[in-house]
Amino acid sequence: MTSGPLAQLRERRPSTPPAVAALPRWRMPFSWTVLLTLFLALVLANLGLGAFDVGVERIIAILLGKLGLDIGVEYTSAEEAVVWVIRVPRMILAALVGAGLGVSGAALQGLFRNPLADPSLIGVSSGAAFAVALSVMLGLTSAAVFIQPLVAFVGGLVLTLGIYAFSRSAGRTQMATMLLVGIAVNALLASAISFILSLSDDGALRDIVYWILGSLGGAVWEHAVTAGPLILLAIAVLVRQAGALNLLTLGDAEARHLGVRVERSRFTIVSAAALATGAGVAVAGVVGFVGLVAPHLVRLVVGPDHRSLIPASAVSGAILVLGADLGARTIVAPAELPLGVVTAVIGTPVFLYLIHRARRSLAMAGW
Amino acid sequence: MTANEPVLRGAGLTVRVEDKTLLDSVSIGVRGGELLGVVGPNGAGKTTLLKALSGDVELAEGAVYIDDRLLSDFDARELARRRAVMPQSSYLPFLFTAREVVRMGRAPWEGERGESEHGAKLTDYAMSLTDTRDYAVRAYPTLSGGEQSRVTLARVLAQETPILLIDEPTAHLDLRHQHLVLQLARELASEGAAVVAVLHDLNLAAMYTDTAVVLHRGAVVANGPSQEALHPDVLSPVFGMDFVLQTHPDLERPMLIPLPASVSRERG
Repeated sequence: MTSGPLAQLRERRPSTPPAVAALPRWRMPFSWTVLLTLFLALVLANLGLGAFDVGVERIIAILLGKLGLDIGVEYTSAEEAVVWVIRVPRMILAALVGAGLGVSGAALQGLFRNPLADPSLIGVSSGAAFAVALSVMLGLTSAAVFIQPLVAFVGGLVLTLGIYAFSRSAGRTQMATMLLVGIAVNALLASAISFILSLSDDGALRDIVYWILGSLGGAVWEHAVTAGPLILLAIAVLVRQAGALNLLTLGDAEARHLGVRVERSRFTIVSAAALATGAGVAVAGVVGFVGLVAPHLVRLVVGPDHRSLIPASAVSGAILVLGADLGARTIVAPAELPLGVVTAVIGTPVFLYLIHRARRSLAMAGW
Repeated sequence: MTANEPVLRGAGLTVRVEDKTLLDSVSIGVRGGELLGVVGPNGAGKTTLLKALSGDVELAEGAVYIDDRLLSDFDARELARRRAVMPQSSYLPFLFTAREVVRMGRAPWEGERGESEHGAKLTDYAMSLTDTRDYAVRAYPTLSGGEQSRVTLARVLAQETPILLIDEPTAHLDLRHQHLVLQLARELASEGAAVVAVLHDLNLAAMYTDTAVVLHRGAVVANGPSQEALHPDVLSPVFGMDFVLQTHPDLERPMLIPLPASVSRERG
């Protein structure tokens, strides 16, 4: 226990009355119950719905069957193949990609002290998109499951680190500078990608556009087990930075005075956000809006404290992408809609509604 | 180190931005139990001095010592347990409640035994001292400027450090709260804290501080007991204004009454 001047003063001059108003206690458990129920419902829907539907008890039987448990529910081998080989890895990837984007968005909004920040700001998505476009145009892609994700992943991380390094001067990184550099580089790469598209033949054009619009159509177990651990690692790192993120929202100097190693935390947060986003983009292409919207959705129910906001953003991000992917593959079945288009179509009205709802408090917060 | 050594010391602090010298070899020290006021006109370098002391600006020359140890030798967390800094204003883009903001002041102590309870008690206590408990659950960005600065003061107090650097704590406050804040700084000094406060109001400085530093164009003009440093002979040339020195009717404290230029001319 500490015993500085304030504690001594408190001994000598205690205050009355002791109680300070507190927020209602039911809010947190209630919010988490709603979030987790929605998440579970969407997991089951993603496993059960599609070209042919599989009932809940059969899904459970198939999953438990994989663990060697027989609960006495019959299922066909076709159902087993569809659920286990196609839908489970796709569902896992949708949840993880969404969780990674949600967590990155929450962390970057805190780090940039800007509720409009989004993982694309640090250049991961545009770096990945540019790398993929370039490799497709140069004919460097191959049928191997891993080449394109690897190109995207490396492209995204390299660009983020480049933007970070460029924004450093005298050992300190200016967040405002990084924001501007990110915007400028994103604009440059958007033009570069368009230019590459204009040079590409029809096949390459289709490949690039399909990738840029995002899709989990190519999801396989191999992707889930490689991208999955990277995303989970990044989420774990960002959960550990939650306390530092709270203090960073006060400003760099304030955070430093409260004991945060600002440069170190910042580098850790940017790297982890780039890792979570980069691994997701690598397997799913560019999935917009989730990183921006997911944190806002849960900030309304769990509050701004990153210790609850980060885990809640993981769940809300997962919910958004699970829902979007379900829509992407069922709305125009047997064809598929691009995932990025669905997230934008869902995300935009949700975001507009949130802004409309929050306008009063936002105006008071100064923007 | 003896009890009478300064716990916080700035030696030959010089700050330059491009070729402009904002602070010109300023040396000051503050002891435990001392409330030091920093006064001076606009642009004299008061905030720059506070930033230099807190390590927020790069020094062209000079060094800052805490307990005779170089500031840069401290680990961030160790320093945060020794010294707290209150900024002039604190912008927060998210809707943290006032109480959550004050609780952030406990961050350097997180992980200590019994901290969750002790921290909660000190948070509440800091809020009652600064008269902010009525809006404990209101969102910080929705508070008025004066309310925000008292919440920020509560956050800094909750940090429970023996050294406090505060930049114009009274800037947005009404009269009662201005005195409440300085009274508080006074009391913390009595408990052994070393407090450096940048103050705009000369009479607040005269009423509450033990010692004062008068800055003018980045340099120290006077540095010593407040009664001597805050004297019209020192202040008139610095502020470009004449003062009449009186004594507070109830306290053995000087009061500085400014004279308008027209009166000064008449008096010759």
